[in-house]
Order: sequence, then C-alpha cells, then structure tokens
Amino acid sequence: MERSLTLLLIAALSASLAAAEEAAITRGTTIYATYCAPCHGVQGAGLLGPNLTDAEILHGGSHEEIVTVITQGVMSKAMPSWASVLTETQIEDTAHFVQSIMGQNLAGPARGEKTTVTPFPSGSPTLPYVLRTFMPTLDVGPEVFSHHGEGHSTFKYSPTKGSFDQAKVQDPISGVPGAIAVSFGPKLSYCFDTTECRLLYTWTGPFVDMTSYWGEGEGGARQKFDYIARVIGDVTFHTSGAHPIRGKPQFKGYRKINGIPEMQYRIGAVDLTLRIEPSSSDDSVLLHYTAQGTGGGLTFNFDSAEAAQIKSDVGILRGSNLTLTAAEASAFTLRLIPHASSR
Amino acid sequence: MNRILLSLAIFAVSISAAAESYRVESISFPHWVAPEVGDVDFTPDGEIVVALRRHGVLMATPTADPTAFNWRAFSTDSLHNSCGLQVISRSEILISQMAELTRLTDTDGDGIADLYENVADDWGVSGNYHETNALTPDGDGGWYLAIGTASHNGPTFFHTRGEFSDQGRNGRNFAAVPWKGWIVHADADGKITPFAKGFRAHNGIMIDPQGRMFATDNQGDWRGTSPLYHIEKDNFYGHPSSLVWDEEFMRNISDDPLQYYIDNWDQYEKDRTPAAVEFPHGFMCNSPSEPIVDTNNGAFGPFAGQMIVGDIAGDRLIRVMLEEVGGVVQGACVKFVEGGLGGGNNRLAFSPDGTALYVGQTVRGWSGRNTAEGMKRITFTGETPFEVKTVSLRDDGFVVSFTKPLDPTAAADLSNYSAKSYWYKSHHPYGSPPLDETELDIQSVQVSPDRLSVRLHISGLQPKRIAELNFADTLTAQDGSSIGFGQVCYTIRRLPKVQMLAQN
Repeated sequence: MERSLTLLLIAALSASLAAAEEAAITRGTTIYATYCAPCHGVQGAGLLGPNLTDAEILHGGSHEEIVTVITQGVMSKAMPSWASVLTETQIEDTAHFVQSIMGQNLAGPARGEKTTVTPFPSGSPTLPYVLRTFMPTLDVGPEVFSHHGEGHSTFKYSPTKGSFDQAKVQDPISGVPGAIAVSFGPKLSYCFDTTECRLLYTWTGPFVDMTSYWGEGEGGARQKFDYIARVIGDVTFHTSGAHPIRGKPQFKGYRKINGIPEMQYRIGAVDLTLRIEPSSSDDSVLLHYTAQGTGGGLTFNFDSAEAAQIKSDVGILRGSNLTLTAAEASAFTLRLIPHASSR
Repeated sequence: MNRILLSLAIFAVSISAAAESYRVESISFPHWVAPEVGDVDFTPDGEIVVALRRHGVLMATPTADPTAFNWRAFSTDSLHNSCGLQVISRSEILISQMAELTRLTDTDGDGIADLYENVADDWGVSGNYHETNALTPDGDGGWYLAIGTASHNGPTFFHTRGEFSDQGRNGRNFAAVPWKGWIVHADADGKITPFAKGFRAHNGIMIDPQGRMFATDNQGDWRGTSPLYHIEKDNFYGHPSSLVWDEEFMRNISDDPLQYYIDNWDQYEKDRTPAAVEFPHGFMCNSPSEPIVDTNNGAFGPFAGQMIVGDIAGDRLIRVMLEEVGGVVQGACVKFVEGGLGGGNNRLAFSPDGTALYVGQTVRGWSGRNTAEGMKRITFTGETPFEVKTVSLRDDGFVVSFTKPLDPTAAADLSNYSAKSYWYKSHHPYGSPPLDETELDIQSVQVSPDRLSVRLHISGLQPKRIAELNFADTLTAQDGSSIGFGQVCYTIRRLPKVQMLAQN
C-alpha cells in the first residue's frame, strides 16, 4: 500500500517536472527564435553557427554544458556571451529548447532556402569580416604608395582592328592592388594595404558595395572599367605622408585572435603585428602593436595630419614623432581618434 | 519528398549518348555562399574542399545524395579570386589568390582556419580583373603557379604592385607587371623563379603521373585556337607580352616583343613551342581549364591514364589522348561528357574511390553571359560507353582503338570513316578560322583480329596540321551501340619516321 503511494507520488512529481520542462521549452522557443535563429537557423540546422539538431553538438549536449556556452559564449567561434542580454531563467529555458531539438539530425543549410548572398557583405564586433579585394584609394595621397609601381596610360586597343587607336588614350584608375578590408559592423571598418603594410583608412557605417565587381544580387557582370569596391559610410581616418616606420615592407599574413585579424609584417629589420579593433568604451579605434627586432627602440615618424589623430599612453611624443623603448615597443596600443570627414 | 523529386529531375537530364555510362548530378551549396568554385580538391581522409572565388572555403564529407552535403566553413574570409587550391589536410590548405599564395591553417583544432600566412607574393598585380593565378604542387614542397595576363577589357591602377612596364601594357592581353604570362616556381620558402613564358590565360596547370607538366590556354590574340601545352623549362609558348619580363630577350632581341613578333611572324613560328594538342574552336572547346589525369585504374571507366579537361565556355568536358612521337608530346582530343553540366567547368577533382569526378564551376566576371556557378558530380555507372579509346599516329595514317569490339561489317566499311585537315594561325589578331581545310583520302581500313581497333591508311598527312577523324553513326559496336562522340581531332606536331611502319 505504502509502496503504491510512493510510486504514485513519484509519477505525479515526474508529470509535474515534465510539465515544467514543457513550459520551459515553450518559453525557450520564443527566445531561440529572437536571439539564436539568425545564426543557428530557424530550425536549428545551422547557418553561420553550427547545426544544433545533431545527436551530439559541438560544445557538449548536457543541459549544464549548453547553459555554459550560452552564458559565456565561445569567443574563438564567434559565439557571443548572452549573459548581459538574457536572464539566467531565459538561458535555462533556451537550453531546454536546444536539448528538445537535438537528435533530429536536420540537414545543414543547403537546400531549398533562399540565398542570403548579396554584394553588401558586412561583419560584426564578434565576427569581423575579412575581404581581400580591390579597394579604393579614397583620399590617400600618392606618397603613401611609395613601394608600388606607377601605372601609365596606353593607347586604346581596338579588338575589332587588333591595333591601337593613337587618338584614344586609356588611363589607369585608382585602386589598391593588395588591400585587406575588415568590417566590425557599423562602428568600424578599415582598409589595410599588404604592399605598404599600413593602415590606409577607417570608416563607420555599412561596409562596402561590391556590385561593380561581383554583380547584382547573387552575382553577375562586372563593371568593365570600374570594379573597385565602393566604401559606404563616413571616413574617420586616412593615412598620409611617408610610412611612419622606415624600411622595406613585407607582409607575412594574419592570424585570427578570437576572430579578429592580427596583421603580421616586417619593415626593414623590425617584425610587427597590428591588431585593429573598435574600443568597447568609446568611438576610438585601438591599434594593438607588437614590435620585435627594434634594437634600441622604435620611432614612428607620423605625418602631422596623422599625428593629430593618434594618441599614445606610452613612449615620448615630440611633435609628430613617437619614440618607444624596445621594451615599450614589444607590446603597446595606440588609439586612433576618429573624425567625421566630409565624405 | 522534394529531395526525391529533385534527384529524379537530375537523373532525367539528358547527357548525350554516354548517358548510361556517366551520370551528372548537381551538388547543393549552403544558401549563404555564392558557389563560384575557384578550385576543388580532397583531404587525404576523403573530405571535399571547395575554394570559392568570392567568399570562403567549404568542407564536407560527400554523401550519395548530392543535395545533402553537410557543409561546414573552414574559412568565411573573402580571399581575392581564389583559383588554385592544394589540400594538405583538414587543417591545412594552400590557396593562390590575386596577390598571394596563402597558407590557411587551423592551429587550434576547432575546424576553422585561424592563420593565413603569405607563402609567396613576388609577382605583380596591375589592378586588372583578368589576372588569375592557378597552381599545381611540384611534389617537393613547392609549387608551380600559372600567372595569367591582364585583359584590354579592364584598366590597370595608378599604383601597381610590382614594377610597371609601358611595353608590357600594350596589347589585347597584356603583361604590365612582372610574371604575367609566365609559369613561375615558388619554393617552400616562397622564393619565385621564372620557369616558362609566353602564356595568355593559362587557367589550368597540372603535373601528370609521369612528371610531365601541362597547361591549357585560351583562344585569343596569339592563340588561333585553344591549346594544351606540354611545359618545359625556359620554353616560349607564343604570347609575346610576357617577354617584357625576360631580360635576355629585352636586351638581345627586342625591347618591344609584341611589335617584334607582329613584324616577324616567320621568326615567331620558329621561336614558339607549339601545342601538344589544339582544341578546335567552336565545336570542340572554346575555353579549356584544368586538366586532370584519370588515375583510377578503371573505376571511372575505360579511359584510365588519359587526360580530362574542363571547358569554361561549353556544356562539356574534353578527353585527351596523348603519345610521344619523335621526341615530342602530341595527341588527340574528343568530347567526353556533353550536356547536363552547364558552363563554367573550371576545376576537376576525383573522389578518393575514383568513381566520381567533381567539376567546380564558375564564370562570374570573366564572361557577361552563361552564368554557371556551382559544382557537378559525374559518376561512372559501370556501363562501358562505346567510344574511341586511343588514337595513335603513323606516318601514313592512324591506329584507332575502341572501348568495345566493332561490328565486323561496319568496321570494314570505308564509308564509315572520313578525315580532313586544317590549321589555325596564331598571330596578333584574335583567334583564327580553320585554314587550308582539305579532305583527306582514307585509302583503306584494316580491322584488328580482336575487332577492338582499326588501322586507317591516309595519304597526305602533314605536320603542323590538325587531322580530324570522323566516325559515322553507322560504325556500330558488336553489341549494336552507336559511337558516342565520333569526331576526334589529332594535332600533328611531328610524323613518325617511316621505319616505324614495319612494326604495324
């Protein structure tokens, strides 16, 4: 008799637990649709983020593991921390929902879905987007391109005649042949040149319009003589003058640190890294440098216009020259103060 | 349900007479990428790797269902026109892009590349859209890179990467900055050494199992029709613009190579290395891309050891049958699979089991029409097609072998065979019509005892000509099947010496 009662109580308790979990899943469904579906897909089958409907998911499938990932994020995978956005209960509810869709093994984001490809790519602070393409020179002067060749005009070629029309001249256009553009979303985009090994300019706003190169919509024709990326937004800095560090530049590549690219290059005998990111506290742009092989130290000979926008908490600033000891140069951060240009 | 319908639709696509032997399927991509396939390759453990020209590198383990590949992104960075790919492992690949040969490495084992190293970049970038770089590993830790020329359909920049040459800027396709129109070697440290010159748009380079290097090129200026070249060190392959970066030529012969060869066509013919195989423009192939050798020992059908070449402009792949004659490589081409592919057939890779050929497709930005981006899979069904298998030149004709025994009556009937010859002039004007078209007299045919080959006696064969052999539909196999592709074009660089005749 007693035993039956116990079983009955356990059954009732289980039923109420199941009902509670059901309610949590229902609430979690709404939260998921708002905050998670943009990356993990409406059905959880993955988009930019991984598929959550597999039997085992990437960072563990237990309730606790899922709660941890949602709460703390996975910086290396660009999964943000939701602790400041969602309450603990909401995170619990979302974890219940995620567990409820595990094991469905829905196919990945391949089929039957409308393409999201556009000529207007962009990134975000947690998942910056790296674009290697022909970027415009904008207001960057010719003195900045001192390690480039100099393109000249030519007589226009007539494909029908197979000869040159001495009356028509075809001029070069402006563009950066070895650019890397990076978007952190509306707050910061920048253009780095791998030939000069130098930050060329920064801007705020959307990012670029690639229609002239990639074509409209999902892709198509290139603009014949005008396929340079269009910068969209307000330019907040552009470099000027000779390179602040003298010597022959050689680009070595970039490493992603929590998704943020760190440019690696050598100028003369100095090995540098430069990681550019938006400040989380104000509008400034942080230029995190390391420099090895500086011998007795490192001097940035900034152009005066450039110096007006650069702030440093280390080293000695005289005029537009910033001098760092070798120890200071090994790891330091400059701040770039943006200004709204007329662009 | 939708998947089943889609599969049925794919199977229903007609792919020519060889339909029962090779099945063509369309591989689905995630909706967030533009499937402009710059190159495709496999990891040693069987994952397919796709480098996209616009955005990202994808990996997946292929599934039987062509719409169900579970793609993951190894990289979501937009590299600049990725058109060469070497896969080392799931965590390390190399990509040739506009300004760089780049090594992408996943250093922390999370499946996503986090290190992008500049391996080699010592060539110019003029800013012209057309400059495309393909690669093939040298087998010794380095690479050969095919550095394409620029096109008059686009500009250069005021600021170029690398030295700018005014003479190099001239021409329809041009070489305004270093190593455009060359094949260069990059060693493991990224040091660039020039290897061969005279290319126009050599969008396909490979080294075959015997260690011979081949590159295709595209019809146009200095290309009467599209060629396949056997590449040997220091040779000049006929497009003069690249010679502005040849110091010896500029110093000793002319500082204006384009004009020099416009004015001296006879000298041009002496100086250039001709194609191993020419693909007649219009009906065979208008824009050849990557060659690949079928090393699958029969798993992909009866053409083991032969070369397959993509066609950017055509809805087909081409098969190439090579031989060495008088110390040079030459041979014949024939259509391989036609229909069901669409255009843009840019890069080829065999599946690890050798039963399927993946065709990476793209034309975006190269052609205003015929937009064809994506990937197809061609699978051998096990059904032997009835096709020409090999073509071998004799001083007075050809030995042609077939994949199936011939019907003896049809095979002995001379009216089932015809042949003609012509040539294409490579010169500064764009392309060339077929010149000196001549019907060739087929005097006799002998059928081999096993009925797997015929010996055609043809008079009047000449070097520097294409001999086009045509096999009529009425040339049937013993099992009654008609020949799939009965038009075979053999490029005669050299004729065999007469004494070889005795062996046949």
